[in-house]
Amino acid sequence: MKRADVLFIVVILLVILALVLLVVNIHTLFPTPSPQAFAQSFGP
Amino acid sequence: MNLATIIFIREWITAWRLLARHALVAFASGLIDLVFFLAFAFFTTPVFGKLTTHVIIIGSLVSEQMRAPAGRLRPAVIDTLFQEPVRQYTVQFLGLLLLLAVIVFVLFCLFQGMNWWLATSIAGKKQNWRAFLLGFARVNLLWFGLYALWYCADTVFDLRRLMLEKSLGQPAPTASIVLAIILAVLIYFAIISYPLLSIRKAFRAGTRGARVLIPAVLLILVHFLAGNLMTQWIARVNTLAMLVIGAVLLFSLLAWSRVYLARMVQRVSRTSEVLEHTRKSGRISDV
Repeated sequence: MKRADVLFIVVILLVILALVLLVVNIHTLFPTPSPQAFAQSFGP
Repeated sequence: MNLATIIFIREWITAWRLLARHALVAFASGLIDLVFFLAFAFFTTPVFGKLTTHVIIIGSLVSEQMRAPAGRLRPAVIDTLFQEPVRQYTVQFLGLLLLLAVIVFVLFCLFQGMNWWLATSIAGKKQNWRAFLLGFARVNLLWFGLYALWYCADTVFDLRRLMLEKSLGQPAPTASIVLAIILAVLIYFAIISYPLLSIRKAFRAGTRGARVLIPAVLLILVHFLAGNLMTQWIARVNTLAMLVIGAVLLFSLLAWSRVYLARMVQRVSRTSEVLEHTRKSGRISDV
C-alpha cells in the first residue's frame, strides 16, 4: 500500500472521529430547554 | 425484438453472471451497504431528533409571536424567525441542517463510493480506489449542493405549512408533488454520473440515452418493488425468514443494480461519445 493511500485512510478516520465527537456532544452544542421549562415559559 | 430490448436482457443476464463470478466482492459490497445503513442511523438519529425539537420550539414560539394584540399588524414570519426569542433556535436549526448535510455527504461518499468502485470494477472498468473515491466526492459536491437546496426548500415549505396551520387552524397547501419530481430528476442524473464520474458526460448520456436509461432505472425499481412484495409475502409465513431473505434480497439487488447501471451507463456513454466524434469528424470533413 502506498504512503498516499495510508494518509488518505488516516484523513478519513480523523473525519469520522470528528463527526462522532460532534454527534455525541450534540446536546451541549445545540441546547434546547426541557419540555417542562418550555411549557412554563408560556405561562399558565 | 429491437436493439434496446436485446441490450436490456443481455445486460440483465451479464450483470447477474458477473455478480456470481465475483461472489466474494458482491458479499463485501453487501457488508459495506449494511455498515452504511447502521452508520447512517447512528449519526443522523440524534441530529433528526434535535431538528424535530427545534421545529416544535420554533413553531410554538412563532405562533405565540404572531398573535398580535388587537389593532396592531401581525408581524411577518421571516422577521419573527430572526428576532428574539426565536432567533437563537433558528440559528441552531440552520447549524443542525449544515451538520446533517456534512454527515450525510461524508458517509455517502465513503461507503457508496466504495460500493460504486466495486461495482464498476465488477462491470469491467478497473480504477484506482483513492482516485475513484475523490472523483465520487467531487461529483457528489454538485448533487449534494442541489440536494441541500432541495432539502431546505422542503423544510421551509413544511415549516410554513406548520405555521399556517397553527395560526389559521386549517390545512395549508403543500408543494410535495413538484418537489418529488425535482428529486427524481436529481437522483436520475446523480446515479448516471457515478459510474462515469463526470457531470458533463452524465448529462449527455442521461439526455441522449434517456430512451435506454430511463427504462433501465424503471427496471431496477421494478426489481425492488418485486423484492418488497416478496418480503411482505414471506413475512406472513415467518418473520425470521422475512428478515434473513429480505436482507439477502435487498443487498443482492443493491449490488446487482449498481453493476447493471454501471454497464448500461458505460455502454450509452461510449455510444454517445462515438456519435459525437463521428458528428465532429463529419463537420470537419464538410468544411
